[in-house]
Amino acid sequence: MSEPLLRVEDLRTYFHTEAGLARAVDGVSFSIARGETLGVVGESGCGKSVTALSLLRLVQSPGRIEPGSKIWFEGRDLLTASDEEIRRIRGNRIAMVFQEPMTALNPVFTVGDQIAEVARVHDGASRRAAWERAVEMLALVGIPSPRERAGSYPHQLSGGMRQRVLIAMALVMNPALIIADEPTTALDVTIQAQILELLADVQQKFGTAILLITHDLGVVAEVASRVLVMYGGMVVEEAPVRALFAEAGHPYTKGLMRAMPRVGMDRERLATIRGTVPPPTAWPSGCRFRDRCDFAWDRCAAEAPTLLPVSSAHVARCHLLDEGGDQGPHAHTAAGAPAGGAQ
Amino acid sequence: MAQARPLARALATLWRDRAARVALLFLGALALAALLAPLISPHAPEATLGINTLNSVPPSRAHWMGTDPASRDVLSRMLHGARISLAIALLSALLASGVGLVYGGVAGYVGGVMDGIMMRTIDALLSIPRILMLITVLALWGQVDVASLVVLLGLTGWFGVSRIARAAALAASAREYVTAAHALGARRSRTFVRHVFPHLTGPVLVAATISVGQVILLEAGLSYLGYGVPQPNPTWGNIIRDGRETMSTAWWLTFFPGIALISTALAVNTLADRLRTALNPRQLDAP
Repeated sequence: MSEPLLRVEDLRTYFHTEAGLARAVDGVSFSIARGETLGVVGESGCGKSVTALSLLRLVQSPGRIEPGSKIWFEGRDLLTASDEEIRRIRGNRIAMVFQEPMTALNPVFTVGDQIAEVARVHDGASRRAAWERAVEMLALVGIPSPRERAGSYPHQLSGGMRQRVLIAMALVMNPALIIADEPTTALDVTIQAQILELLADVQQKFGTAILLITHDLGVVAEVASRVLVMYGGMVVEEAPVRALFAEAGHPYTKGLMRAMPRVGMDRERLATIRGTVPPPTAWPSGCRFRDRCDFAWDRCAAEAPTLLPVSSAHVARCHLLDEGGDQGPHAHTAAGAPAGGAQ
Repeated sequence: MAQARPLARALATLWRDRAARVALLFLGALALAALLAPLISPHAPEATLGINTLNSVPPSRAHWMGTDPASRDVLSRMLHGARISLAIALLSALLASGVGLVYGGVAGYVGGVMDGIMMRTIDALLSIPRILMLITVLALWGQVDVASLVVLLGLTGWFGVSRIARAAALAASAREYVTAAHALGARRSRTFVRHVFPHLTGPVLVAATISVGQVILLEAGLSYLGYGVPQPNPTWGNIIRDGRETMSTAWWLTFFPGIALISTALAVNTLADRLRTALNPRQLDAP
């Protein structure tokens, strides 16, 4: 098997704040193959956006990527690359699509101008050539009469169109990897579907790998081939998308699934996960989810779980999976069989 | 090109406001009078028309604003004085805002220790009263020409502007499109020029307008104290200085330049205030 496009090893991004050390991303490892879509799911504050920013070294002070972290991309470690090298990678080999299409576009420039900027920055393209490229990109992302739209200001476009513009900006240099941070969160449902379709389309056409960050399992189910579930700055579960929906291995993932509305559901209220995400300055000892977990027992406080296999290529960070452990099985069968947790 | 539209919209907003319109018309008329001073003034500003017969003549049809103790026509001196006073004010405000814009913009954008050092320096400089600073320098310098005075006023006037520019740069740097520009591989310098700098011009324009008003008064004050533009060049401050000893008998010497000073400062400040409203980014962003 050849080297994956992106391989992240033990990524730790800490914020050295006055309120204490916030371990926003704490030992995350994953990889993405060429042309693959990896979904990253989790609640606000689970570290998924900081992970994305870390990949491009865009974390702002007081945030810092700790020594020992490794980000391998196309055979080199991005964390030891020079500022100039990383600048050449940004927007060129790895591009980012931001969440809020209103705020990620500068209100005082036309959208054509902003798309053209990418080509000018990386290719040194002339004004005219860059503008032509921008028009081409707008056509590619399905904006009608792209030549006229290129002269529009962001406020003259709808939310869906603006999101298409952001995707067009990401596509200009035909990157190997697109990081999409909640690309559909600010949009209404029908537009969401269109944007997801566009991303899938782009991937088919150009073989671009996509890192899709979202809090919406439905979005993941639609486009991702593999899923990373994050909680408390860590990966708590990693699985192929089918395997995850067939049998979630972590109580947190199960909770997320139960919180999702389904067609034909006859319950009045959706299930919720009790409590809130603890602040990253004060993760609980042992398992970081234990305060909110229905199955937690004393081992969960004493010992941090590691990623354990659920099935092939499917791992979860939970003591319940540790069949060999001698305190666990009795306690958890008493609390309710893990499979029974789904319904 | 992209900037032209918001600016045009701001000007249109400004024109719709009555106070702003009055201020603009007044300043426009004043500027025109100053420009045309050599053509429209009845006498040369330094001409003594008859030192024994025509000194300190009250306003009349021949001399609308009277004459001074040296028998010079006050209206002619007022018109030529406007040239110098307004030119000094505009040029030094321009210099001050230019320097303040770059200094504050860079401090706010770069941030961190650099920002700390740069802004503490400003705090120190702002703690010295500007008039004291000016008088000290001018007293050491002796006589100065108009160009030096502009430079001096400009270089002592940018501290406040730089604070405003820094605040605007801090706000603009936190915008998501600045992060987006970095994420797309733009250099920091490019991001600054393209995405941060344009957002500083509005607030700094307002600050610059206010400082025009300040400098007009400051220059008058310096001239009055004898540190400003040398005699016999007419400036509004110089004319008041000429009349200060005879204020009770020859009131017109201080009255007209005083009125001109107050009205100009008032008009400029009104304009600055309305400009602030007109340049509000919310109004700029509206479709």
